Amino acid sequence: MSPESRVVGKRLTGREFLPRVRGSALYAADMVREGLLHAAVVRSPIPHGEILAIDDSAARAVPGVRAVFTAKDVPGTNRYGLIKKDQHLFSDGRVRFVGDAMAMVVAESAEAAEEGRRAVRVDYRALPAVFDPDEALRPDAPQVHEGGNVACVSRIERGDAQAALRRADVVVENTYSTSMIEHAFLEPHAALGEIDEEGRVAVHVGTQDAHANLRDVAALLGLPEERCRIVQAATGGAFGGKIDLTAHGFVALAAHRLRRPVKLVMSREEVFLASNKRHPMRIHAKTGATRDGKLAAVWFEAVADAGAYTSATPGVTSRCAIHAAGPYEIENVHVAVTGVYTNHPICGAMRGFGVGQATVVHESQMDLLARELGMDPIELRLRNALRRGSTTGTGQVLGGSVAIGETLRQIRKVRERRIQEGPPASPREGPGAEGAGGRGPARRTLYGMGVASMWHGVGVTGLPNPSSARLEVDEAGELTLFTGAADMGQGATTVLGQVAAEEMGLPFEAVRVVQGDTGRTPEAGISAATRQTFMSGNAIRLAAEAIKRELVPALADVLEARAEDIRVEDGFVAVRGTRGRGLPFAEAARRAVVARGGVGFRGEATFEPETTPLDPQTGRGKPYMTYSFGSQLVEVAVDADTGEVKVLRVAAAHEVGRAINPLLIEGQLNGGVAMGMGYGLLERFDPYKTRNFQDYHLPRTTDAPEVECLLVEEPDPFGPFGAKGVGEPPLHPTAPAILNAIHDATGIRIRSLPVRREEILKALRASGGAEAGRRQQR
Amino acid sequence: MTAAPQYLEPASLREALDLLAEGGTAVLGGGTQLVPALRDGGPGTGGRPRRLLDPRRIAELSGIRQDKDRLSIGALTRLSDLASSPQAAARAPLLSRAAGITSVPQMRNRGTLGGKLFNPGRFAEIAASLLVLGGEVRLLRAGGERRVGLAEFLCRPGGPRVSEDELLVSVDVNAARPLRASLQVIEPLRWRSPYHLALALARPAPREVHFALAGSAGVFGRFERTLGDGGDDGATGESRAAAAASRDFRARHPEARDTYTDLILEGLVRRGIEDALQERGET
Repeated sequence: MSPESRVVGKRLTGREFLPRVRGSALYAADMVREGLLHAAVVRSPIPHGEILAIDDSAARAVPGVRAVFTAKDVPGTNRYGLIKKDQHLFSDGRVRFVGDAMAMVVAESAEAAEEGRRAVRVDYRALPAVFDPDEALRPDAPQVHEGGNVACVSRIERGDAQAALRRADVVVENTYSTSMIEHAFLEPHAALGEIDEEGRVAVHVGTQDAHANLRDVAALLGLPEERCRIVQAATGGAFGGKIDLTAHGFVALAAHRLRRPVKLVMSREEVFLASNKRHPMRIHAKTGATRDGKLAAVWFEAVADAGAYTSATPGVTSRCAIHAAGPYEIENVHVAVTGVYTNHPICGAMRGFGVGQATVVHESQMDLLARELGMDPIELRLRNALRRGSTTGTGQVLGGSVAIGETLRQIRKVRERRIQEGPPASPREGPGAEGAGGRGPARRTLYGMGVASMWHGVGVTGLPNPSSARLEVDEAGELTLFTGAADMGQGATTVLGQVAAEEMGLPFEAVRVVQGDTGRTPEAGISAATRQTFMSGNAIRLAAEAIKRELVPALADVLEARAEDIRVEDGFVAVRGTRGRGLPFAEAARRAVVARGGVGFRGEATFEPETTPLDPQTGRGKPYMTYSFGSQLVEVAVDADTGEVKVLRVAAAHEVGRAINPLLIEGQLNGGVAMGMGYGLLERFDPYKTRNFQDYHLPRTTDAPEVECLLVEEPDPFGPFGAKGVGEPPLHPTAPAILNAIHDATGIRIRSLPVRREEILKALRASGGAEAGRRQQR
Repeated sequence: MTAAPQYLEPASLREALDLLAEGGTAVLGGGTQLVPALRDGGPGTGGRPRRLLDPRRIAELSGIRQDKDRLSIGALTRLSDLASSPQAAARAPLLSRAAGITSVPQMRNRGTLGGKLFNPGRFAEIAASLLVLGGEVRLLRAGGERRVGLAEFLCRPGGPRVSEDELLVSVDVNAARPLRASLQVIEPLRWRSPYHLALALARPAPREVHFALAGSAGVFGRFERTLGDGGDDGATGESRAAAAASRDFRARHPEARDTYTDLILEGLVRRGIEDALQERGET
């Protein structure tokens, strides 16, 4: 209705944030019901074995215990899974990792449930286990699943990479490894199941996709979907960790069987033990170029530890493969990424979905190539950067906005400014400083800058991933957006509300948003894959068009005007060509509803991005409708005595199409940089050793660098108001830019994440770099 | 369900020692370590105590007293009280500073010095500072008193131990005069990180350097070196002392070779000496 943006582009803070800050947001763990029962899950203490018997008699004798459930009590199909249904709510007689669920105790109190859980006796026959994916690929390796340990292989073939590498003037070849990572969301998994007022089995849970969860829960219970309901509770972070079923199936089964509300709250230790992780990968890469810096070929082969079950592994390997060559024009590409089952915890969806691992490699390779060629690393990237109309490794011709070049030019400006200013004073060297690691002065500090770029396809890879949205005007004349899009704290509620308000010509505050309830909202697909702003934003625009087709003529009738003369701006319905003739939207809409007998207005629409599946042998296809791009400049100080790497400043330039809400994008950029710092410098999940945050080290606020956020706006022709997603992208460049900055500072190339200080110290000692305090020429 | 331990709150030292003599009793300090261990089941349910003795009403166990050349710090003295004590700041500034930076404020407000001695790797700043200062712990039982040197107590393989009927009463540190000293901490707060390490360094005389090292990998002990002159090879006196200290360390801890501690030791000691010489970071 309005040609100008009045809500889109504003730095708004939506209603969903204050309750979180004030502590009034209702998480599943906080929910109470009359007659509430509590559940505790019995999990496997061994990584691989056959269950011979489960004796629950002692558990049933514990005062307060009401029931013990095992696989035989699952009324439907005891199988679920994000892509392949190979996980079991309760083990089918075989356990495949420490943490595999075997039984559940339900009791009147959490304490009784816990005591019952400890009382369940399980007899096992231990089976040989395999923990290394390379070992798992050997013919004589223990078989985690029938049919072999290869979960999937994702391939990209374009041109002839081997031949091009032979012809290339310069080739860099390296092997990299990345670590297993914990999501580390603030809210541990929790769910409450109950029978709702309509007799449905309802589950309140922190989730990223209520509708997908509904299908799995209904199948477990053997019920039609309409007899089940998933309601998204306030969700305290997710990062991909709340896509699969977590606590949902357990409480749904118990509520269904006992007809009483049941709650399951996992401890942090249980989450660490049983929840999905990020895939660790070992990657061998070769990158070739001509003497003038034109990329000739990329050869990339990776093995990913999938853990015990499939979960999102095929999605991770395919996304990793597609992005393996980086945001560059390359004629010859060979990529193979193999997901391998082991007896480790399940590796599944996590922010980045395999792109982070690929970015570490292609951006390290680009820096090494620049050194070999004697070129500026930014110039090398610019020379090869994708443009609109470029063809990717999958053969896709890019039709969306492609501003990787502009992000590089932006950080080049920052770099020039930084060089002129000189390195910042290390926080430890300033007044009041306190020492090594933050406490005591440091002197032998080596300073370096590093650059890295990224690209990230928006949406689910090569699969249908529609989003639907519905707008309704009720009898009070108020507008409500119904969307299945989950908000885990990232601000989807605000952004989608802004899109709806803009489309309808209303102030942001006038739009009510109902979301994440399969009983009330249409399916929007997963809140992951950097997709909701793009997919649901488009769906809302289409829904707005749909509702306006009925609403605008009705408003015209109320105002006794022609439909084509109706304008809605800032919540006021005006008649074009008249002075002051009009009504507030709510009043006009209310009268319009009354005029049609109290029947409200409703518009619902679905947006389906144009994608095609990838050919399994060549990877050819159109996996995403559009991509997001970005580049980061990282400055580090390396303490030559202790090996500590301090990230001083980060300039993060990201192409967002159009910034619907710059404030929330800056939040994503700051969060992504912090997560990338953890990936690069601190975080490593050692299966069966890392138990909680005492062992798992995250960046703290005191580690956080100054982040300069540079939003590059080049409207995408397919995005709502030109917008595209930014949820995952800012994570990707940080870790490789840190590696490149360390190399700049010390001359040491780290190829294994997270950075180990011993590696820096040994190399510095060997090179005498600690004494020299060298600084690379740029 | 497992029965909760019986809670005992003796009013006097004598009463506490009599209760401990009966056995099966764990002593509660600030509760920052024992209470979570009890909640989480501890290392083994078999070790769960029948009784918890809370000695907070026993005045002798709290507070800081000057006793000739020593500072006697009651075992129940909170770390935050130690950090803010003018007496400690004047006579044992290194320990005062360590108490002010170890762990997090909540832990310092609640945790006691005595309790922290039983987890010296986690409170490496405290352990390293105590080792450099030197002194002893005072233990009482119904039958008498035992004094154990801090080095022996803290560096015992497997960690400090007291018998079931003993009560840690005080930590008595050498405080004849404040030493020129410095404290370096790597990865503060991340006490399970392999990089968590504290180096306390003191110069009792212009050319004497004492230092102690503790961290997540253990308490590595106390070392002494004489600060020599620079040599013809251009190495400074502090570099030579640091290298020698490093050799001392390796000789005493061959198992630590090529660990992080081993790799950074020389640089860290050199930095500590430089700090001391230039009066940077000194207390």
